[in-house]
Amino acid sequence: MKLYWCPDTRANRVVWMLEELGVDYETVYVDIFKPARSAELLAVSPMGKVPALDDGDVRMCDSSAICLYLADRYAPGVLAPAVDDPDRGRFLQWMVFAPGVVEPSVTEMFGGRAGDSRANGWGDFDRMIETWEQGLGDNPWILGQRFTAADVMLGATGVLCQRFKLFRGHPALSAYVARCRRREAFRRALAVDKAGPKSLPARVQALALGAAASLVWMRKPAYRLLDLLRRPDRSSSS
Amino acid sequence: MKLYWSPGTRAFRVVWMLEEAGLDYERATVDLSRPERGAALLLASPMGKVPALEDGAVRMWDSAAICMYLADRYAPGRLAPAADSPDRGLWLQWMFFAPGAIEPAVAEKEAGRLSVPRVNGWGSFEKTIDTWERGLEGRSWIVGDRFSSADVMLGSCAVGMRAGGTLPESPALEAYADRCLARDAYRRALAAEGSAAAAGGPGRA
Repeated sequence: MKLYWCPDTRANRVVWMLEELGVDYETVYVDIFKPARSAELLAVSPMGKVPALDDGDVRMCDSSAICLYLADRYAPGVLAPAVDDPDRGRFLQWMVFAPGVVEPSVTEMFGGRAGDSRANGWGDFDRMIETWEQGLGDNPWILGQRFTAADVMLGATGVLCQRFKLFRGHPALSAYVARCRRREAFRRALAVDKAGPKSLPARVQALALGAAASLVWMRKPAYRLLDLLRRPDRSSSS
Repeated sequence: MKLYWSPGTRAFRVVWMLEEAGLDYERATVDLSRPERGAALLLASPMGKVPALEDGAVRMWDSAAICMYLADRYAPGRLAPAADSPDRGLWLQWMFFAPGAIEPAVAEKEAGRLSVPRVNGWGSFEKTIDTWERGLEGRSWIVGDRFSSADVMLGSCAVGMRAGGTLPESPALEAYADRCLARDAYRRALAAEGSAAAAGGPGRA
């Protein structure tokens, strides 16, 4: 099994997933900072994005889709509840929550422009956080006592949120991310990232997002002011 | 099986999905113009959003998750490739494409926000549309040229974007939307949607 990968991207959640599964895989490094993409990668990932997976007849991209595929295929009933398990619905719901709710609502917040929370599937940032906290309740994992692929998706997304200090004032979410970080498979995945050919300490990806956000905020002073007033804890971090 | 539904919302695609699967279901109408939500809806959908589904012990929300659940559970091998099918990967990839790429890309473009293609999972609006068009090249349906639940997700986006004026000029996506509209299950879903939606189209898909 071959994973197209670059350190410090959404590919690391798939490495974590593969480490949870304990299956053999090789990583193929893609330098995302260069515009060129190999024909081999483009055949698997039309946007040239990582992660992308080559598993025999199956060639696919998108971190959520890959994690769900791997869980159903290689750890059914363990990292993915079976199709007739009452937890299956919730499991799928949380698998979609990371890319479909967390990411767009965070991007929207960084963009400094509130969207139409009724029309948008993700509502808005505050409702996203509240829903995530409620979903966890007092449980260690999102489905309760069992760790699943949904925790890989949410945990990896949570690590990114924490990097941007979005979980300040949300101890349950911070504790959840800390639990994820303590997992052996997470640590092994982190080591893969750190040993990578270009594991950039400068966090170029984070800087790119931060710079873009600042540019937009400078252009929209009213939104910036509103955001400062409304969310002093968060805006101070950006 | 009970679907929490409101006209002109993403609940439409689940009605279409239920019609494709040939399942019995009832609809509980949610009045989105009012701020309050019933306790039963909130149990299935903490954000109070539609669609939400109740199926025995299963309570869930999110149109993409519901369509995946229904396809795997009630139409395996027909509306969802089996877990060991070579098509399984692409099916999942396209199931996530609607909530994870199309919808954020459209919202970003409509809000006029600066796009950060390298960071955004969806790249940009243009990249998203281009990827979608290329996925349909030489075939009628997105996975293996066989109609699946991924076409319910993507087809409802195409139809909704056309109605909302956000679909760019694209003969391929126009034709795809028309193919979806011509399906019997789609027509039944539209009839179920009632006159409210017929006037405005399935709109905010």
